[in-house]
Amino acid sequence: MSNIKEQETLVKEFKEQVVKKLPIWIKTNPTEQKDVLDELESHIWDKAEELAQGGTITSMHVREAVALMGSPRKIAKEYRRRGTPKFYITEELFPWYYKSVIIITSVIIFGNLLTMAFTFGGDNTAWQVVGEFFAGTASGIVFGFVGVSLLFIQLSMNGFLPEDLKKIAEQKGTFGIKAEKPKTKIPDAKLAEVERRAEKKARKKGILESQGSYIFMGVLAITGGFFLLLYPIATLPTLVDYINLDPNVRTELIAALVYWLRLMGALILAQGVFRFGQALAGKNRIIHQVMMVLHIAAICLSIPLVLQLQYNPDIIITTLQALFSGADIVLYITIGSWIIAGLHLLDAFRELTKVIRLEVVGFSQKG
Amino acid sequence: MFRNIKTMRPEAMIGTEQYRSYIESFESELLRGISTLSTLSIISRHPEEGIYGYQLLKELQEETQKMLVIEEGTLYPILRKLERDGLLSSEKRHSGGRPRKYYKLTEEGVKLYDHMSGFFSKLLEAIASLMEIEVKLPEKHFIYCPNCANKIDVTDEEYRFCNICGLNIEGLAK
Repeated sequence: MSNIKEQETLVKEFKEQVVKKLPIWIKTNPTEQKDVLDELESHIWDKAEELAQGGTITSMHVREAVALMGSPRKIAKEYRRRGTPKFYITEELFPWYYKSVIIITSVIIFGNLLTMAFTFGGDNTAWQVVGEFFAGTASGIVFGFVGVSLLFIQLSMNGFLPEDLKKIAEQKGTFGIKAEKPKTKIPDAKLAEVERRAEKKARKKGILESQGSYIFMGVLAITGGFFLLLYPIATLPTLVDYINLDPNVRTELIAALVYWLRLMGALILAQGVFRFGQALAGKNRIIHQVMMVLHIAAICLSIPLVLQLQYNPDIIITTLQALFSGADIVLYITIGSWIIAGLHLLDAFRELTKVIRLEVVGFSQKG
Repeated sequence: MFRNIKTMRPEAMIGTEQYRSYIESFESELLRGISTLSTLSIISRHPEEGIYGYQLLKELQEETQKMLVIEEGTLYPILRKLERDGLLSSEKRHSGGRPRKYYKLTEEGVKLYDHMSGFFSKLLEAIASLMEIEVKLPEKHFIYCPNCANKIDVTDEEYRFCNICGLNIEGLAK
Protein backbone atom coordinates (compact mmCIF):
# COMPACT_ATOMS: atom_id res chain seq x y z
CA MET A 1 0.00 0.00 0.00
CA SER A 2 1.46 3.38 -0.98
CA ASN A 3 2.00 5.95 1.72
CA ILE A 4 -0.77 8.30 0.52
CA LYS A 5 -3.22 5.47 0.11
CA GLU A 6 -2.46 4.26 3.62
CA GLN A 7 -3.01 7.75 5.00
CA GLU A 8 -6.33 8.04 3.19
CA THR A 9 -7.35 4.63 4.51
CA LEU A 10 -6.58 5.73 8.06
CA VAL A 11 -8.75 8.83 7.68
CA LYS A 12 -11.50 6.85 5.96
CA GLU A 13 -11.54 4.25 8.75
CA PHE A 14 -11.76 6.98 11.37
CA LYS A 15 -14.67 8.60 9.52
CA GLU A 16 -16.43 5.24 9.22
CA GLN A 17 -16.12 4.70 12.95
CA VAL A 18 -17.53 8.15 13.63
CA VAL A 19 -20.45 7.52 11.25
CA LYS A 20 -21.29 4.30 13.10
CA LYS A 21 -21.62 6.19 16.37
CA LEU A 22 -23.34 9.33 15.06
CA PRO A 23 -26.93 9.92 16.20
CA ILE A 24 -29.68 9.02 13.76
CA TRP A 25 -30.71 12.65 13.26
CA ILE A 26 -27.37 13.27 11.53
CA LYS A 27 -27.33 9.94 9.70
CA THR A 28 -30.74 10.62 8.19
CA ASN A 29 -29.47 13.92 6.79
CA PRO A 30 -26.76 13.13 4.17
CA THR A 31 -25.76 16.81 3.76
CA GLU A 32 -25.30 17.26 7.50
CA GLN A 33 -23.37 14.00 7.79
CA LYS A 34 -21.04 14.97 4.92
CA ASP A 35 -20.53 18.38 6.50
CA VAL A 36 -19.56 16.81 9.84
CA LEU A 37 -17.14 14.34 8.24
CA ASP A 38 -15.57 16.93 5.90
CA GLU A 39 -14.83 19.18 8.87
CA LEU A 40 -13.22 16.34 10.82
CA GLU A 41 -11.16 15.23 7.81
CA SER A 42 -9.95 18.75 7.13
CA HIS A 43 -8.84 19.00 10.76
CA ILE A 44 -6.92 15.70 10.60
CA TRP A 45 -4.96 16.83 7.52
CA ASP A 46 -4.21 20.21 9.14
CA LYS A 47 -2.96 18.47 12.26
CA ALA A 48 -0.88 15.98 10.28
CA GLU A 49 0.67 18.90 8.41
CA GLU A 50 1.55 20.55 11.71
CA LEU A 51 3.04 17.33 13.05
CA ALA A 52 5.12 16.96 9.89
CA GLN A 53 6.64 20.38 10.68
CA GLY A 54 6.77 21.50 7.07
CA GLY A 55 8.04 18.13 5.82
CA THR A 56 6.19 15.38 3.99
CA ILE A 57 3.20 13.97 5.79
CA THR A 58 3.68 10.31 6.66
CA SER A 59 1.24 7.68 7.87
CA MET A 60 2.64 8.10 11.35
CA HIS A 61 1.64 11.77 11.35
CA VAL A 62 -1.85 10.92 10.18
CA ARG A 63 -2.17 8.17 12.77
CA GLU A 64 -1.15 10.61 15.51
CA ALA A 65 -3.52 13.28 14.19
CA VAL A 66 -6.36 10.74 14.22
CA ALA A 67 -5.48 9.74 17.78
CA LEU A 68 -5.54 13.38 18.88
CA MET A 69 -9.05 13.77 17.54
CA GLY A 70 -10.32 11.67 20.44
CA SER A 71 -12.44 8.54 20.30
CA PRO A 72 -15.26 8.41 17.71
CA ARG A 73 -17.59 7.47 20.57
CA LYS A 74 -16.74 10.66 22.46
CA ILE A 75 -17.11 12.82 19.35
CA ALA A 76 -20.49 11.27 18.54
CA LYS A 77 -21.52 11.70 22.18
CA GLU A 78 -20.91 15.44 21.89
CA TYR A 79 -23.21 15.58 18.85
CA ARG A 80 -25.89 13.89 20.93
CA ARG A 81 -25.63 16.57 23.60
CA ARG A 82 -28.54 18.66 22.39
CA GLY A 83 -31.69 19.90 24.04
CA THR A 84 -32.45 21.26 27.49
CA PRO A 85 -32.59 18.53 30.14
CA LYS A 86 -35.96 18.24 31.84
CA PHE A 87 -36.41 15.08 33.88
CA TYR A 88 -35.13 12.39 31.53
CA ILE A 89 -36.74 13.89 28.44
CA THR A 90 -35.54 17.15 26.96
CA GLU A 91 -37.72 20.22 27.23
CA GLU A 92 -37.85 20.49 23.44
CA LEU A 93 -39.26 16.98 23.08
CA PHE A 94 -41.75 17.30 25.93
CA PRO A 95 -44.68 18.61 23.83
CA TRP A 96 -44.20 15.68 21.42
CA TYR A 97 -44.00 13.26 24.32
CA TYR A 98 -47.18 14.68 25.79
CA LYS A 99 -48.96 14.43 22.42
CA SER A 100 -47.80 10.84 21.95
CA VAL A 101 -49.06 9.84 25.40
CA ILE A 102 -52.46 11.42 24.63
CA ILE A 103 -52.70 9.65 21.27
CA ILE A 104 -51.62 6.27 22.64
CA THR A 105 -54.05 6.63 25.57
CA SER A 106 -56.91 7.53 23.19
CA VAL A 107 -56.13 4.58 20.94
CA ILE A 108 -55.96 2.19 23.92
CA ILE A 109 -59.28 3.43 25.33
CA PHE A 110 -60.90 3.22 21.91
CA GLY A 111 -59.50 -0.26 21.29
CA ASN A 112 -60.76 -1.51 24.64
CA LEU A 113 -64.18 0.06 24.12
CA LEU A 114 -64.34 -1.69 20.79
CA THR A 115 -63.38 -5.02 22.33
CA MET A 116 -65.99 -4.47 25.02
CA ALA A 117 -68.64 -3.76 22.41
CA PHE A 118 -68.01 -7.09 20.71
CA THR A 119 -67.77 -9.17 23.87
CA PHE A 120 -71.19 -8.07 25.11
CA GLY A 121 -73.80 -10.75 24.69
CA GLY A 122 -71.26 -13.56 24.96
CA ASP A 123 -70.79 -15.87 27.92
CA ASN A 124 -69.62 -13.08 30.24
CA THR A 125 -71.96 -10.95 32.30
CA ALA A 126 -72.12 -7.19 31.73
CA TRP A 127 -70.11 -6.57 34.92
CA GLN A 128 -67.39 -8.97 33.81
CA VAL A 129 -67.18 -7.25 30.43
CA VAL A 130 -66.98 -3.80 32.05
CA GLY A 131 -64.38 -5.12 34.52
CA GLU A 132 -62.29 -6.49 31.66
CA PHE A 133 -62.60 -3.12 29.92
CA PHE A 134 -61.17 -1.26 32.90
CA ALA A 135 -58.45 -3.84 33.50
CA GLY A 136 -57.48 -3.86 29.82
CA THR A 137 -57.50 -0.07 29.61
CA ALA A 138 -55.43 0.35 32.78
CA SER A 139 -52.80 -2.20 31.80
CA GLY A 140 -52.75 -0.88 28.22
CA ILE A 141 -52.21 2.68 29.42
CA VAL A 142 -49.42 1.56 31.78
CA PHE A 143 -47.63 -0.37 29.00
CA GLY A 144 -48.24 2.43 26.48
CA PHE A 145 -46.98 5.07 28.90
CA VAL A 146 -43.84 3.09 29.76
CA GLY A 147 -43.18 2.34 26.08
CA VAL A 148 -43.60 5.94 24.95
CA SER A 149 -41.54 7.22 27.89
CA LEU A 150 -38.67 4.84 27.11
CA LEU A 151 -38.79 5.83 23.45
CA PHE A 152 -38.59 9.54 24.27
CA ILE A 153 -35.84 9.03 26.85
CA GLN A 154 -33.86 7.26 24.14
CA LEU A 155 -34.56 10.05 21.65
CA SER A 156 -33.49 12.65 24.22
CA MET A 157 -30.28 10.75 24.95
CA ASN A 158 -29.54 10.78 21.22
CA GLY A 159 -29.99 14.54 21.02
CA PHE A 160 -33.14 14.43 18.95
CA LEU A 161 -35.00 17.70 18.60
CA PRO A 162 -38.51 18.30 17.25
CA GLU A 163 -37.06 19.57 13.98
CA ASP A 164 -35.36 16.19 13.43
CA LEU A 165 -38.63 14.37 14.06
CA LYS A 166 -40.36 16.77 11.68
CA LYS A 167 -37.74 16.12 9.02
CA ILE A 168 -38.20 12.37 9.38
CA ALA A 169 -41.98 12.76 9.38
CA GLU A 170 -41.83 15.00 6.31
CA GLN A 171 -39.54 12.52 4.54
CA LYS A 172 -42.02 9.75 5.22
CA GLY A 173 -44.98 12.03 4.55
CA THR A 174 -47.09 10.47 7.25
CA PHE A 175 -47.91 13.35 9.55
CA GLY A 176 -49.31 16.81 9.16
CA ILE A 177 -47.04 18.88 11.34
CA LYS A 178 -47.99 21.98 13.23
CA ALA A 179 -46.09 25.04 12.14
CA GLU A 180 -43.40 26.04 14.63
CA LYS A 181 -44.32 28.93 16.90
CA PRO A 182 -42.39 32.09 16.11
CA LYS A 183 -39.50 32.70 18.54
CA THR A 184 -40.26 36.38 18.98
CA LYS A 185 -42.73 37.27 21.69
CA ILE A 186 -46.12 38.17 20.37
CA PRO A 187 -48.24 40.61 22.35
CA ASP A 188 -51.04 38.85 24.25
CA ALA A 189 -53.80 40.71 22.40
CA LYS A 190 -52.31 39.73 19.05
CA LEU A 191 -51.82 36.15 20.22
CA ALA A 192 -55.46 35.98 21.31
CA GLU A 193 -56.49 37.25 17.90
CA VAL A 194 -54.27 34.66 16.17
CA GLU A 195 -55.75 31.89 18.34
CA ARG A 196 -59.27 33.11 17.64
CA ARG A 197 -58.61 33.05 13.89
CA ALA A 198 -56.95 29.62 14.10
CA GLU A 199 -59.92 28.26 16.01
CA LYS A 200 -62.27 29.73 13.42
CA LYS A 201 -60.18 28.18 10.66
CA ALA A 202 -60.22 24.77 12.38
CA ARG A 203 -64.01 24.95 12.57
CA LYS A 204 -64.19 25.97 8.93
CA LYS A 205 -61.90 23.15 7.84
CA GLY A 206 -63.99 20.49 9.56
CA ILE A 207 -62.02 19.54 12.69
CA LEU A 208 -64.57 21.36 14.80
CA GLU A 209 -68.20 22.26 14.17
CA SER A 210 -69.51 25.76 14.68
CA GLN A 211 -70.58 26.81 18.17
CA GLY A 212 -74.19 27.00 16.97
CA SER A 213 -74.04 23.39 15.74
CA TYR A 214 -72.71 22.19 19.08
CA ILE A 215 -75.47 24.05 20.92
CA PHE A 216 -78.09 22.60 18.57
CA MET A 217 -76.73 19.04 18.87
CA GLY A 218 -76.36 19.43 22.62
CA VAL A 219 -79.89 20.71 23.18
CA LEU A 220 -81.37 18.07 20.88
CA ALA A 221 -79.54 15.20 22.58
CA ILE A 222 -80.24 16.49 26.11
CA THR A 223 -83.95 16.84 25.30
CA GLY A 224 -84.05 13.39 23.69
CA GLY A 225 -82.12 11.84 26.55
CA PHE A 226 -84.36 13.38 29.21
CA PHE A 227 -87.42 12.26 27.26
CA LEU A 228 -86.26 8.63 27.27
CA LEU A 229 -85.18 8.84 30.90
CA LEU A 230 -88.26 10.52 32.32
CA TYR A 231 -91.13 9.72 29.98
CA PRO A 232 -93.38 7.46 31.99
CA ILE A 233 -93.46 4.69 29.36
CA ALA A 234 -94.10 2.14 32.05
CA THR A 235 -97.46 3.67 32.97
CA LEU A 236 -98.71 4.43 29.47
CA PRO A 237 -99.96 2.06 26.77
CA THR A 238 -97.09 0.89 24.57
CA LEU A 239 -96.95 -1.52 21.66
CA VAL A 240 -96.56 -4.25 24.27
CA ASP A 241 -100.16 -3.60 25.34
CA TYR A 242 -101.42 -4.64 21.90
CA ILE A 243 -100.07 -8.14 22.06
CA ASN A 244 -101.99 -11.00 23.34
CA LEU A 245 -99.74 -12.43 26.04
CA ASP A 246 -99.88 -13.45 29.63
CA PRO A 247 -100.01 -10.26 31.84
CA ASN A 248 -96.93 -11.41 33.79
CA VAL A 249 -94.95 -11.86 30.59
CA ARG A 250 -96.14 -8.45 29.36
CA THR A 251 -94.98 -6.82 32.59
CA GLU A 252 -91.54 -8.40 32.14
CA LEU A 253 -91.34 -7.21 28.52
CA ILE A 254 -92.35 -3.68 29.51
CA ALA A 255 -89.76 -3.64 32.30
CA ALA A 256 -87.00 -4.82 29.93
CA LEU A 257 -87.91 -2.26 27.28
CA VAL A 258 -88.15 0.60 29.79
CA TYR A 259 -84.80 -0.37 31.30
CA TRP A 260 -83.19 -0.45 27.84
CA LEU A 261 -84.74 2.90 26.83
CA ARG A 262 -83.58 4.54 30.05
CA LEU A 263 -80.02 3.31 29.58
CA MET A 264 -80.06 4.58 26.01
CA GLY A 265 -81.59 7.85 27.24
CA ALA A 266 -78.78 8.28 29.77
CA LEU A 267 -76.14 7.78 27.09
CA ILE A 268 -77.85 10.20 24.69
CA LEU A 269 -78.17 12.73 27.52
CA ALA A 270 -74.45 12.35 28.28
CA GLN A 271 -73.57 12.88 24.60
CA GLY A 272 -75.68 16.03 24.63
CA VAL A 273 -73.91 17.33 27.73
CA PHE A 274 -70.50 16.73 26.11
CA ARG A 275 -71.59 18.48 22.92
CA PHE A 276 -72.88 21.37 24.97
CA GLY A 277 -69.53 21.44 26.76
CA GLN A 278 -67.81 21.82 23.40
CA ALA A 279 -70.08 24.76 22.59
CA LEU A 280 -68.75 26.44 25.73
CA ALA A 281 -65.12 25.37 25.20
CA GLY A 282 -64.39 28.19 22.73
CA LYS A 283 -60.71 28.10 21.81
CA ASN A 284 -59.65 25.79 24.62
CA ARG A 285 -58.28 22.82 22.71
CA ILE A 286 -57.86 20.59 25.78
CA ILE A 287 -61.51 20.98 26.83
CA HIS A 288 -62.59 20.20 23.28
CA GLN A 289 -60.50 17.06 23.33
CA VAL A 290 -61.70 15.92 26.75
CA MET A 291 -65.33 16.44 25.67
CA MET A 292 -64.72 14.57 22.43
CA VAL A 293 -63.09 11.62 24.22
CA LEU A 294 -66.01 11.45 26.65
CA HIS A 295 -68.36 11.63 23.68
CA ILE A 296 -66.52 8.71 22.07
CA ALA A 297 -66.87 6.74 25.31
CA ALA A 298 -70.63 7.38 25.35
CA ILE A 299 -70.94 6.33 21.69
CA CYS A 300 -68.93 3.18 22.30
CA LEU A 301 -71.03 2.28 25.34
CA SER A 302 -74.17 2.58 23.24
CA ILE A 303 -72.81 -0.07 20.81
CA PRO A 304 -73.21 -3.01 23.22
CA LEU A 305 -76.60 -1.61 24.19
CA VAL A 306 -77.75 -1.74 20.56
CA LEU A 307 -76.32 -5.23 20.15
CA GLN A 308 -78.25 -6.27 23.27
CA LEU A 309 -81.38 -6.10 21.11
CA GLN A 310 -80.19 -9.32 19.43
CA TYR A 311 -79.24 -11.19 22.57
CA ASN A 312 -82.07 -10.20 24.89
CA PRO A 313 -85.41 -11.14 23.24
CA ASP A 314 -87.37 -9.52 26.10
CA ILE A 315 -86.44 -6.01 24.95
CA ILE A 316 -88.11 -6.01 21.56
CA ILE A 317 -87.91 -9.36 19.69
CA THR A 318 -90.65 -11.17 21.62
CA THR A 319 -93.03 -8.24 21.28
CA LEU A 320 -92.46 -7.87 17.55
CA GLN A 321 -92.72 -11.62 16.98
CA ALA A 322 -96.10 -11.61 18.70
CA LEU A 323 -97.22 -8.65 16.61
CA PHE A 324 -95.88 -9.88 13.24
CA SER A 325 -95.96 -13.62 13.55
CA GLY A 326 -95.03 -14.31 9.92
CA ALA A 327 -91.92 -12.09 9.75
CA ASP A 328 -88.32 -13.14 10.48
CA ILE A 329 -87.95 -10.59 13.29
CA VAL A 330 -84.64 -12.01 14.59
CA LEU A 331 -83.02 -11.53 11.18
CA TYR A 332 -84.32 -7.96 10.85
CA ILE A 333 -83.22 -7.04 14.37
CA THR A 334 -79.80 -8.63 13.81
CA ILE A 335 -79.23 -6.72 10.55
CA GLY A 336 -80.67 -3.50 12.00
CA SER A 337 -78.63 -3.60 15.21
CA TRP A 338 -75.40 -4.38 13.34
CA ILE A 339 -76.02 -1.46 10.97
CA ILE A 340 -76.68 0.91 13.88
CA ALA A 341 -73.65 -0.43 15.77
CA GLY A 342 -71.51 0.01 12.65
CA LEU A 343 -72.68 3.60 12.23
CA HIS A 344 -71.89 4.27 15.89
CA LEU A 345 -68.46 2.78 15.39
CA LEU A 346 -67.80 4.97 12.37
CA ASP A 347 -68.97 7.99 14.34
CA ALA A 348 -66.61 7.11 17.21
CA PHE A 349 -63.73 6.61 14.79
CA ARG A 350 -64.42 9.95 13.07
CA GLU A 351 -64.48 11.66 16.45
CA LEU A 352 -61.23 9.96 17.49
CA THR A 353 -59.47 11.14 14.33
CA LYS A 354 -60.62 14.66 15.17
CA VAL A 355 -59.15 14.37 18.67
CA ILE A 356 -55.84 13.15 17.23
CA ARG A 357 -55.82 15.79 14.48
CA LEU A 358 -56.45 18.49 17.05
CA GLU A 359 -53.59 17.12 19.14
CA VAL A 360 -51.13 16.73 16.27
CA VAL A 361 -51.95 19.67 14.04
CA GLY A 362 -53.72 21.92 16.54
CA PHE A 363 -56.07 24.64 15.42
CA SER A 364 -53.46 25.99 13.03
CA GLN A 365 -53.40 23.23 10.45
CA LYS A 366 -55.64 22.74 7.47
CA GLY A 367 -58.29 20.24 8.28
CA MET B 1 -5.35 18.63 34.34
CA PHE B 2 -4.24 15.03 33.74
CA ARG B 3 -3.19 15.80 30.21
CA ASN B 4 -0.62 18.22 31.61
CA ILE B 5 0.84 15.78 34.09
CA LYS B 6 3.96 14.18 32.69
CA THR B 7 5.02 11.92 35.54
CA MET B 8 3.47 10.56 38.74
CA ARG B 9 4.40 8.14 41.45
CA PRO B 10 2.11 5.10 41.44
CA GLU B 11 1.47 5.40 45.18
CA ALA B 12 0.51 9.10 44.89
CA MET B 13 -3.12 10.13 45.27
CA ILE B 14 -3.46 10.71 41.55
CA GLY B 15 -2.63 7.08 40.98
CA THR B 16 -5.97 5.92 42.35
CA GLU B 17 -8.81 5.37 39.90
CA GLN B 18 -11.36 6.84 42.31
CA TYR B 19 -9.50 10.13 42.64
CA ARG B 20 -8.93 10.43 38.91
CA SER B 21 -12.53 9.78 37.99
CA TYR B 22 -13.79 12.26 40.60
CA ILE B 23 -11.48 15.03 39.41
CA GLU B 24 -12.13 14.27 35.76
CA SER B 25 -15.83 14.57 36.33
CA PHE B 26 -15.35 17.87 38.21
CA GLU B 27 -13.11 19.28 35.47
CA SER B 28 -15.48 18.22 32.77
CA GLU B 29 -18.35 20.06 34.51
CA LEU B 30 -16.27 23.16 35.12
CA LEU B 31 -14.77 23.29 31.66
CA ARG B 32 -17.96 22.80 29.71
CA GLY B 33 -19.13 26.39 30.02
CA ILE B 34 -15.62 27.82 30.03
CA SER B 35 -14.77 26.02 26.77
CA THR B 36 -17.83 27.47 25.10
CA LEU B 37 -17.03 30.95 26.36
CA SER B 38 -13.38 30.70 25.32
CA THR B 39 -14.38 29.40 21.90
CA LEU B 40 -16.70 32.37 21.45
CA SER B 41 -13.94 34.68 22.64
CA ILE B 42 -11.50 33.44 19.97
CA ILE B 43 -14.19 33.64 17.28
CA SER B 44 -15.06 37.21 18.35
CA ARG B 45 -11.49 38.21 17.42
CA HIS B 46 -12.23 37.35 13.79
CA PRO B 47 -15.35 39.37 13.09
CA GLU B 48 -14.76 39.85 9.37
CA GLU B 49 -13.06 36.80 7.92
CA GLY B 50 -14.19 34.22 10.48
CA ILE B 51 -12.12 31.33 11.76
CA TYR B 52 -12.07 27.58 11.07
CA GLY B 53 -11.88 24.85 13.67
CA TYR B 54 -8.22 23.93 13.48
CA GLN B 55 -7.06 27.56 13.60
CA LEU B 56 -9.40 28.19 16.52
CA LEU B 57 -7.90 25.34 18.52
CA LYS B 58 -4.40 26.55 17.82
CA GLU B 59 -5.21 30.05 19.02
CA LEU B 60 -6.98 28.68 22.07
CA GLN B 61 -3.99 26.57 23.03
CA GLU B 62 -1.59 29.45 22.55
CA GLU B 63 -3.74 31.92 24.51
CA THR B 64 -4.25 29.58 27.43
CA GLN B 65 -0.71 28.16 27.42
CA LYS B 66 -2.24 24.76 26.66
CA MET B 67 -4.07 24.83 30.01
CA LEU B 68 -7.50 24.81 28.42
CA VAL B 69 -7.45 21.85 26.11
CA ILE B 70 -10.50 20.90 24.12
CA GLU B 71 -10.22 17.43 22.65
CA GLU B 72 -9.82 18.13 18.97
CA GLY B 73 -12.75 16.13 17.67
CA THR B 74 -15.17 17.45 20.26
CA LEU B 75 -14.73 21.08 19.18
CA TYR B 76 -16.90 20.60 16.11
CA PRO B 77 -20.05 19.43 17.94
CA ILE B 78 -19.67 22.52 20.16
CA LEU B 79 -19.40 24.80 17.10
CA ARG B 80 -22.39 23.12 15.49
CA LYS B 81 -24.47 23.57 18.63
CA LEU B 82 -23.55 27.25 18.84
CA GLU B 83 -24.46 27.63 15.18
CA ARG B 84 -27.78 25.91 15.74
CA ASP B 85 -28.45 28.19 18.73
CA GLY B 86 -27.96 31.20 16.46
CA LEU B 87 -24.73 32.49 18.05
CA LEU B 88 -22.58 31.59 15.08
CA SER B 89 -22.91 31.67 11.33
CA SER B 90 -20.71 29.64 9.01
CA GLU B 91 -19.44 29.79 5.48
CA LYS B 92 -17.56 27.15 3.46
CA ARG B 93 -14.44 28.40 1.72
CA HIS B 94 -11.39 26.78 0.17
CA SER B 95 -8.06 27.72 1.69
CA GLY B 96 -4.73 25.94 1.92
CA GLY B 97 -5.92 23.50 -0.71
CA ARG B 98 -8.82 22.09 1.25
CA PRO B 99 -12.43 23.04 2.03
CA ARG B 100 -12.84 24.73 5.40
CA LYS B 101 -15.81 25.96 7.35
CA TYR B 102 -15.34 29.48 8.71
CA TYR B 103 -17.31 30.54 11.75
CA LYS B 104 -18.30 34.09 12.74
CA LEU B 105 -20.35 35.51 15.57
CA THR B 106 -23.82 36.61 14.56
CA GLU B 107 -25.24 39.92 15.77
CA GLU B 108 -27.14 38.04 18.44
CA GLY B 109 -23.99 36.02 19.21
CA VAL B 110 -22.02 39.21 19.88
CA LYS B 111 -24.62 40.41 22.38
CA LEU B 112 -24.83 37.04 24.09
CA TYR B 113 -21.05 36.73 24.22
CA ASP B 114 -20.74 40.17 25.86
CA HIS B 115 -23.29 39.19 28.44
CA MET B 116 -21.76 35.77 29.09
CA SER B 117 -18.20 37.08 29.33
CA GLY B 118 -19.36 39.96 31.53
CA PHE B 119 -21.06 37.54 33.88
CA PHE B 120 -18.04 35.23 33.95
CA SER B 121 -15.66 38.15 34.61
CA LYS B 122 -17.77 39.44 37.50
CA LEU B 123 -18.07 35.92 38.85
CA LEU B 124 -14.30 35.48 38.77
CA GLU B 125 -13.85 38.83 40.50
CA ALA B 126 -16.36 37.83 43.15
CA ILE B 127 -14.80 34.46 43.94
CA ALA B 128 -11.22 35.70 43.62
CA SER B 129 -10.83 36.23 47.35
CA LEU B 130 -12.12 32.71 48.03
CA MET B 131 -9.44 31.30 45.75
CA GLU B 132 -6.84 33.68 47.15
CA ILE B 133 -6.13 35.14 43.74
CA GLU B 134 -6.37 38.62 42.30
CA VAL B 135 -8.63 39.52 39.43
CA LYS B 136 -8.49 42.98 37.93
CA LEU B 137 -11.20 43.76 35.44
CA PRO B 138 -10.36 46.19 32.62
CA GLU B 139 -12.78 48.82 33.89
CA LYS B 140 -11.11 51.59 31.93
CA HIS B 141 -12.37 50.09 28.72
CA PHE B 142 -15.50 48.29 29.83
CA ILE B 143 -18.20 48.68 32.37
CA TYR B 144 -20.07 45.71 33.76
CA CYS B 145 -23.76 46.38 34.05
CA PRO B 146 -24.59 46.42 37.79
CA ASN B 147 -27.97 44.93 36.99
CA CYS B 148 -27.14 42.02 34.66
CA ALA B 149 -23.30 41.93 34.46
CA ASN B 150 -23.33 42.62 30.72
CA LYS B 151 -19.90 43.75 29.45
CA ILE B 152 -20.24 47.14 27.77
CA ASP B 153 -17.56 48.89 25.74
CA VAL B 154 -17.31 52.42 27.20
CA THR B 155 -15.59 53.75 24.10
CA ASP B 156 -18.87 53.33 22.25
CA GLU B 157 -20.57 56.64 22.99
CA GLU B 158 -23.87 55.50 21.58
CA TYR B 159 -24.45 53.30 24.60
CA ARG B 160 -26.65 55.02 27.15
CA PHE B 161 -28.56 51.95 28.18
CA CYS B 162 -27.45 48.35 28.73
CA ASN B 163 -28.60 46.52 25.62
CA ILE B 164 -29.42 43.42 27.63
CA CYS B 165 -31.46 44.71 30.57
CA GLY B 166 -32.08 48.33 29.56
CA LEU B 167 -30.48 49.90 32.67
CA ASN B 168 -29.36 53.50 32.22
CA ILE B 169 -25.55 53.30 32.31
CA GLU B 170 -24.72 56.97 31.76
CA GLY B 171 -22.15 58.16 34.30
CA LEU B 172 -21.15 54.66 35.36
CA ALA B 173 -17.86 54.63 33.43
CA LYS B 174 -14.80 55.24 35.63
